[in-house]
Amino acid sequence: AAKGEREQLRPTSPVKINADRAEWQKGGSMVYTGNVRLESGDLKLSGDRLNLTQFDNGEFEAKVDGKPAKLDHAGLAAAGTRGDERPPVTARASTLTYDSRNDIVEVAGDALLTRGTDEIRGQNIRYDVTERRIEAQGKEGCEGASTKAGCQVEIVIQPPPRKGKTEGGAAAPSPGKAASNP
Amino acid sequence: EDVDIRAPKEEIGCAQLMFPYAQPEIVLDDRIRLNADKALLEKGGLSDLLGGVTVRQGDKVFSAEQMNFDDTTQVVTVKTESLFRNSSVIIKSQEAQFDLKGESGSFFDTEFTLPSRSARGDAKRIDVNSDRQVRLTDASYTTCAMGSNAWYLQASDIRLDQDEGLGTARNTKVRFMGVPIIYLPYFQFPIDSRRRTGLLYPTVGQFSGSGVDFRWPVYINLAPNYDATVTPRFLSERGIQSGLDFRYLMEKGEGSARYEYLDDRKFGEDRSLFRFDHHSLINERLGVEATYAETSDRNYFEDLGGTLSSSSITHLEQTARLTYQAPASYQITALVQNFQPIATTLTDIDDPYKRLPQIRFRTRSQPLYDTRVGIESEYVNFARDNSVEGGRFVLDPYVQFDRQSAAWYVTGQADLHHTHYELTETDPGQRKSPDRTLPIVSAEAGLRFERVTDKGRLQTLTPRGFLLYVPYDNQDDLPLFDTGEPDFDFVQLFARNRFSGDDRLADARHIAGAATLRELDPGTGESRWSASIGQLYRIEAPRVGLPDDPPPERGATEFITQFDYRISRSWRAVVAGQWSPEQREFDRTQVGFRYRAPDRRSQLDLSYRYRRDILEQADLSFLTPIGGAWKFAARTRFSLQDNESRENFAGVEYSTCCWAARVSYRRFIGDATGDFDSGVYLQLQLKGLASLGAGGATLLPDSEIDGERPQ
Amino acid sequence: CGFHAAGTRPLPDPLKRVRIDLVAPYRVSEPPVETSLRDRLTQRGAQVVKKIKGDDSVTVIRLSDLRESREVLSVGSDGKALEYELILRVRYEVRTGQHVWIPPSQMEARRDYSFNAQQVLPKEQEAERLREFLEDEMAEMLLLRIEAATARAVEEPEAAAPAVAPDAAPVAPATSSTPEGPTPAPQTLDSTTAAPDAAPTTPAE
Repeated sequence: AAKGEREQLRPTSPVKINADRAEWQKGGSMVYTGNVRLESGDLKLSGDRLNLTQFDNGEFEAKVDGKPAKLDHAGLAAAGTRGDERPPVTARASTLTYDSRNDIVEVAGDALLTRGTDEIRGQNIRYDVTERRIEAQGKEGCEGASTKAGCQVEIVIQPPPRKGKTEGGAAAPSPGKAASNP
Repeated sequence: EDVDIRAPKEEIGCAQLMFPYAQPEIVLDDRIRLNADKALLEKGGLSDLLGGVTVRQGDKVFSAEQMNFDDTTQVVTVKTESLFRNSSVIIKSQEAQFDLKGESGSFFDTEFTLPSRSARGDAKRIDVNSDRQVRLTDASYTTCAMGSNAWYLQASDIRLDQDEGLGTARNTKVRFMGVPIIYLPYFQFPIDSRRRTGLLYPTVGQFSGSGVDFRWPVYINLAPNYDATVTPRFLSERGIQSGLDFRYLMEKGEGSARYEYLDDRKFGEDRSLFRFDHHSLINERLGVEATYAETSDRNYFEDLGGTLSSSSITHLEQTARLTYQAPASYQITALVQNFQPIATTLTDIDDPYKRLPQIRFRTRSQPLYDTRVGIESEYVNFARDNSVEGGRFVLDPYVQFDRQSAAWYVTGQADLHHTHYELTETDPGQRKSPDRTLPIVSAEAGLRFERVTDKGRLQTLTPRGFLLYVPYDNQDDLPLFDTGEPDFDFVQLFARNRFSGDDRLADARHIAGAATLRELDPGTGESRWSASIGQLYRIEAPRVGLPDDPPPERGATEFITQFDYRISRSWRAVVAGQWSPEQREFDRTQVGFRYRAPDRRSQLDLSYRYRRDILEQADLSFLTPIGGAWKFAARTRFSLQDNESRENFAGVEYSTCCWAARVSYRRFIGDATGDFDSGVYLQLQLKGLASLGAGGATLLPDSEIDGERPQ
Repeated sequence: CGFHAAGTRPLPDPLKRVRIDLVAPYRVSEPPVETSLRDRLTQRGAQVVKKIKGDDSVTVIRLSDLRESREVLSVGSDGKALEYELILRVRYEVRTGQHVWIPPSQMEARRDYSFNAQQVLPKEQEAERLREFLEDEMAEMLLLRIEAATARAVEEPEAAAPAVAPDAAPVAPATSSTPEGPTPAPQTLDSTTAAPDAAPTTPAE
C-alpha cells in the first residue's frame, strides 16, 4: 500500500494516518507499521504499529502499540471565565485503543497520562475524548492493599504558584526540625 | 553554650491514636499526590476518588474511603470518615473540607490527637488555618490514654497555637473522674515541651495551727535565662500568703531568690521570709558567693515551714564571700557573716558572733626535697551586742615534710602559731590586747600491706601513727569567739588542735594510732568490707579547757571502731562504736542498714544512733512501689531516750501516665514547747496540663528520703 | 598471715599520663578532692598533665557537679536539730580519647556530726574539717575505682569499653566509707556510687 496514504475516516473530521508501511489484513483491517501517526481532529495518536479496523458507517477502532504509544489531545483556550479552559491531555502506554464510535481511548499497561501539569498513573485508564473525562483504575484484585506499588491509581497535581506567598512558602518544614518555623 | 535554665522533664506517655501509616516522609515540593483504587477526573478538574484514598501534600496526609478533589480550587471534600494528619495534629472526622492551596480546612464530628504532647480529645468542629492555628469548637482535651477518661478539660473553644506551643481554652471545665473540679473562664496550657508560663499543679491540705492550706503555684517563663514561680497560698486560720521564687542564670553566674509574705491574722502581724543564694565569677581568678536567709520572726518555720527539716533549723546563715585565687600560689578569701537565731529556746548570750569581716590569706610553696613552707593567716573582727568584741589576728607559718611511696608514708609539720587580739567591751581587769604564741609539732607515719585472698580479692591493711606536741599556755583570759570542742571521732584523732576555732590551742603530748583492714572487689575497685579501729593515748593530761568543759585526763581515750560491709549489690551495713575502757561503756554507737534497689525504684534506710547524754534515736525510712501505679513512702524518727517519735511521715502516690495523686501525712515535733504539728496534704497532678517550670515540690521525697526539702 | 608490704604495684598503663578536668563553673580555687586525687596519682607514679589541644592519648578524669548538702538526722525534744549529716556528691567519668573506662557515674560520701545551737561557729568549722576529710576520702575511693576499671580492661584489651557490664551498672552501691588514711568516725551509711540520673548510655535522651 502506498506510503502516507490519506484516508477519510470520520465524516465529521478527516482522519489522517501516516506510516512507513501499510498492509491489508484479511478480515478487513489495515496494519500500519513504522512511526505511525493518526490524527482525528485535535486528537493525535502515534506509535510503532497501528491496527485499524473499519466499521461500515465510517467508524473505526485504532489499536496503537509502541514503546510507548503516545496520545496527544490539544487543550482548549479559555472561552469564558478562567474555569472554562481545558488543559491539553497526553498519554503514554504500551497500547492505546481508540474507538471512534464512543470517542474513548483505552490506555493499557503502566500508563502515564497527563492533563496540563497533572500526571495520572494507573494500570488501566479510559479517556473520554469529547467529555475530556479520565477514568483510571488500579490493578484488579488488589484494592485495599494500597501499599503495593502500582496497585492504585496515582495522580500528581502541580498546584499553581501561590500568589503572594514567599518563594517556597509552602515548602514543608524539613523533617525533624520543630514544625514551627517554615 | 547557650544560657538556658533547663526545665524538669515531665514524661507523658499515654498511648494515643496514631496515624495508621508511618509518619509520612516530608516531601519538600508542594505537589499534591492522590492515590486511590479508582479515580474519575471530570473535565472541569473535579475528580472523584474511591477505595483506599490518600491525598498527600507537604506534611499533610488525608485518607478516607471516598473523596473528591477539585483540581482548580485544590479543595478536598470528604463526606465519609476520614483521617487528616499534618506535622502537629491528627484529626479523624466524619466530614471534612480542606483547601490544600490555602492550607486551611474544616472538620466536623472529630477526634484529634496531638502527637507531640500525646494528648487527644474530640470536638464538634475543628478549623485549621494556614498559619498553623488550630481552632476547636465544643471540644474536650486530655492526655489520658484512649478509653480512659480519668480527667479531661471541656471548653466551648480551644485554640492551639503551634508556634507559641500554647493551648488557650475558653470557659473551661476540668472534670476529674467525671466530677467537675474547677471552672476557668480562660485557661492556657502547654502543647509542647518548651518552658511556658502557666499553672503548676495544686496542693491542698490541712496543717495544725494553719487550718486549710491550699497552694497553687504559677510558673512564669520570663526569659531563657531567668524565670519565676508565684505561689499564692491560702491558710484558713492565718490569711493569704504570697510566695515568689526567682531563678536567674548569668554569663558567669547563677542564683535564686525566694520571698514569702503573709499578713497573719492569728499571729497578729505580717510575717515574711527572704532567702537568696548566688554564686558567680567576676573573672577567672575572683569568685563571689552569697547566701542569705531572714525571717520576720523566730516562729516562722515552726508555724509555716510544714516540715521537720525546716522547723528544726536553729540559725539562718547570712554570708557573702569573695575568693581570690592567684595561679597556684596564694589564696585570699574575704567574708562577712551573720546568723539570725530562730530557735525560740535561745537567749541573746547564745547568739553566735558576727564576722565583720573575716580575711584569710593562705599560701604554700611547691615541694623542694619533699618539704614545703606555707603560711595560714587570718584577721577576723568579731561583733556581738553586750559581749566582748574585737579583732583577732592569726599568723601561722609552718614547715611541712611529706615523703611517700607505695608501701609507706611519713609526714611531719612544725608551726609557730601566733594569735593577737585587739578587744573592746572587755570585763574590768581583762587585758585588751592579749596574745599567744605556741609551736605545734606533729609527725605522722603509715604503712600499707596487701595480700590477695584465695578468692582473688585484694586486702589492704593500713596502720597509721600520729604524734602531737603543743606546749601549755594559759588561755583562760582569751575570749571565746568561735571555739568549741568537736565530736571525738577518727577525724579528731589526727587533728592538730583538740578544739575547732582559734581562740583555744590545746596543749598536747599524745600519740594516736589507727588501722584499717579493707577487702576490695577487684572488678570494680569498690570496697566489699572494711574494719577500722583507732585510739589516742595522752602522755600528759592537757591543761587547756573550756569554761564548762574540763580537759580530759591522762592515758588512753576510748577506742573508735567502725565496720562497714557491702552485703550485696543493694544492701549495705555499718556498725560503729566509741568504747571507753575506763568507764567500760559506749560513748557513741551506731548501726545502720541501707537498701538501694538497682533500678533505684525502691530503697530503705534503717539506723540506730546513740550519743551519750545527747541522743538515742532510731530511724526508719523507705520508699517502694507497691504494685501497679502505687508508690508508698514512710519515715519515722523515734527518740529512744524520751520514748517518743519525733517525726512520722507517710506518703502514698498513685501515678498513671496522665495523672498522679499524692497524699502525705506528717506529724512532727513542731516547736520548743515540744508539742506536735501534723498535716495532711493532697496533691493532684494532671500531667500535661500543668506548665513545665520549676514545678511545685512533690509531696513524696525524691530518691533521698528527707521529705520536702525547704527550698 | 600472708600480708606483705605493698609492692610497687604499677599503675595500669592508661593511668601513666592523666589529666583531671574539673567542671565547676563558679569556683576559682581547686577543691580538696582534686588536689588529693592529683597527689595520690603522682605519689603512685602517674604524670598529671595540663590540658593540651588535640592530645588524645592522655586519660581524662572528668569530675563535675561537686555538690554538698546537709540534712537533719536527729532532733531534740525542742524540735531543734541535734545531729546533721554532711553529704558530698560528685559525678565522674574516665575516658581516653573515645575509649570509655568508666561511664558517667556518681559517688557520694557522708558523715554525721552532732549539733548544738549554742555552738554555731565551732560546729561550722567542724563541718569544714569534715568536708575536707570527706573530699580526701572521695579522692581515695575514686583512685581505687579508676585503677580497677583501667586495669581490668587491659587484660581483655579487645573487650568493649567496660561501660555497662550487664550487672555491674555503675550504680553498684560501692565504695565503703573507710578510707586508707585516718579511719573514719562512725557515720551513717557510707558513700555509695548512686546511679546517675540518666542511665549512662541510654540512647533515648
